[in-house]
Amino acid sequence: MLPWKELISQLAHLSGLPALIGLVCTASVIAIARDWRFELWALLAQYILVGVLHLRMLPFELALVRVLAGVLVCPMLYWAARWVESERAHKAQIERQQLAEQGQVPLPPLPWPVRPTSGMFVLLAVLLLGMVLYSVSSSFPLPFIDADIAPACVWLALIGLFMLVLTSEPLPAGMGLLTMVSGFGLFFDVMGPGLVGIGVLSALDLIMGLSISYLAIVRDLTGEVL
Amino acid sequence: MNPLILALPGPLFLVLAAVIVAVCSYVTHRWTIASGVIAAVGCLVLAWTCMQRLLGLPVVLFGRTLLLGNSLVVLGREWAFTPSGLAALTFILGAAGLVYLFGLPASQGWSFHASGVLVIAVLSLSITAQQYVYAILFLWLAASLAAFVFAGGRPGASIGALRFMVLTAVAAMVLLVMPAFLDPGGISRTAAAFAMPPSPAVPAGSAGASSGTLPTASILTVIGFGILLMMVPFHGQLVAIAAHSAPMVPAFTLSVFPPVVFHILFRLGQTDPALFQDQLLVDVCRWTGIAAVAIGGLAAMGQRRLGYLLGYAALVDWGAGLIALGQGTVQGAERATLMLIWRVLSLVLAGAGWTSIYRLAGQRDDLDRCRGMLHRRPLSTLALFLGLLSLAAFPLTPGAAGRWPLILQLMDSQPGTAWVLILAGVGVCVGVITGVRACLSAAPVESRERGVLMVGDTAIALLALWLVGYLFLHPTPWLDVAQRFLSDFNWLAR
Repeated sequence: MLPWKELISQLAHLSGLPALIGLVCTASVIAIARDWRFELWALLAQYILVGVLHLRMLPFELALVRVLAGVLVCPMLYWAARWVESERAHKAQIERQQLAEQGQVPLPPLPWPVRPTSGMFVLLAVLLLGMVLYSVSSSFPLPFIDADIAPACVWLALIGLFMLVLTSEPLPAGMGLLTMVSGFGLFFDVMGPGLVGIGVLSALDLIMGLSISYLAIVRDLTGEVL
Repeated sequence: MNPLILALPGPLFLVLAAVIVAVCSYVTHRWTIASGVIAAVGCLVLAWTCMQRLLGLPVVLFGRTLLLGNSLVVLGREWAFTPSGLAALTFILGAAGLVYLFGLPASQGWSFHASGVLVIAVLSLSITAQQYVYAILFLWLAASLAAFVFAGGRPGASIGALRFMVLTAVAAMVLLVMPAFLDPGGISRTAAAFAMPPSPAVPAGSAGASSGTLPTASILTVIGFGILLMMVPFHGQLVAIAAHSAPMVPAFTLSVFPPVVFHILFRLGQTDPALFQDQLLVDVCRWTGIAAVAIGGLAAMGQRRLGYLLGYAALVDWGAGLIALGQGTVQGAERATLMLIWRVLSLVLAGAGWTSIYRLAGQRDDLDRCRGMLHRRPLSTLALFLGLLSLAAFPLTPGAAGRWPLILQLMDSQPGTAWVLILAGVGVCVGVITGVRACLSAAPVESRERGVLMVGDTAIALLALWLVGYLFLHPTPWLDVAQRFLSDFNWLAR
């Protein structure tokens, strides 16, 4: 076995706790951060950490496919977010110029993506979800899955659902959906999906990433795509 | 190989052909009419192919006899034609062909044709999949792809697409987790082959019930199918799709996705009837159906936008279908299936009319922008409002053929439900009257129009009115398709 492959395979023997701690941090950043760049980096790290947990249940190659699919989603979202941000900045600049010509004082541009809630509210909600995770993990453990991986599934599902409830903006809601699907992917492993199942689920990750990027762009279009 | 014979596994042929049609449609997407014609002809030809296969007749295309094998096996997973699957595919492809044909007068979005056919290709994999897991996974994949159809490249048109994608994903995840709770022995049967009967060593239901996991599986099934069947409170996706998408998108959505969901639901019932023995899904269908009908009827009365009016009218009809399904009988399932067919015809008719009006109103659906449309496009306006009245089950319209037998039956057993259905229909009619009044009022500006567009709109509206009228008066082929769709599912009779 190649040394790097052997090294990565050793990760399968790790306890789930370090990965869980990492996932708690990344998912919290995705939920709380106001800047999409931090969110995307957290999503990337999250896919890698979830990949480490996949190694526990899947052969190395299949776990790698899941990680690669996730990692490929991040550039799609990056380009979409970058496009929307520059488009909004461009529009804001034109508006500011028009207002300046009319002798009015332009307001500072709004941040994007727009979050309907304050950061403090989200922080408190995430802390509350952490308590829910602790309670659920001890009282109603997920069946069929290792006890140290189950909390990671529940946590990702909780944060994903929370983000979906919180906003209808495609980019943050989409990252919530992808977070939720990551948690589901861990549970799906124990059902022995095989090569075809993992392949379709990875294709789903990519298609969802593409659709979310597309919706994020469509929301801020100025004219119809021809 | 005989030059006149082409042998391919049927499911593979269907996917490849649909992908080729999608590619051709995409290549020509800048010429809306060419792209639409390719998609319409492609879908209708494939529908005819499935119909021939369903009837056991030879399929001859371009002088070649197609020998379509029954199944395709990839890495031990099987995709195969079944009578119910072929009936569903015939309906989906035929309805999509009509949607593309009558959507020709205006652009429905740059990706409507190509992505739509691609969605159908993926859905065909869901219908023909012989393993439950793959049926759900491909349905999920198709719903994710459908975002391109719903949004269509129009500014701000992302709400319906996002809701549909998210809710289908949540439902799919719930349904994929469910088989783990179905098997009392753990997760050994999680691939839950549709075709595989319950193990004789473990009678369905008994051992599961004793282990306490069957109720969990049953609840997960109800949640999953509740979301997929757009039950209240998940009905918002249906209204959002109608309100925030192009005119033909609601017809497309309600043509291609519900038959697949019904197919998966009925096949699951056939494989694991124990899941439905507690009648939970049936009860939930009935009550949420009543709620959907009431909400739709009330909301339709006060709408000032055609998209929302169409959305709530469709919700009323959709709720009526859920009530029919909630009867938990073969007759109820037949009625729900037939209502699905009539609903698609109503939506196609309404969409055909609305498409022209939508273009003339500057791609806006406010009723204020529709002033004078009855004078400018009388036949298109007639098609739109006849379609809406059909969704309200107004007598002598296609929708009435589906709903009134249900209302008459409920009058004996549940008169309250029957009156809710009637009053909701009246509510939609009130909304339609508001729309007609707006279209009758004088137009603010009389702009000059190109004669060819006027002739094209009139021809399409006339064709839609004639075709829907013809199909309404000659329903035998549709009834035959519905019966064949249900032919594989004898568990409904138990």
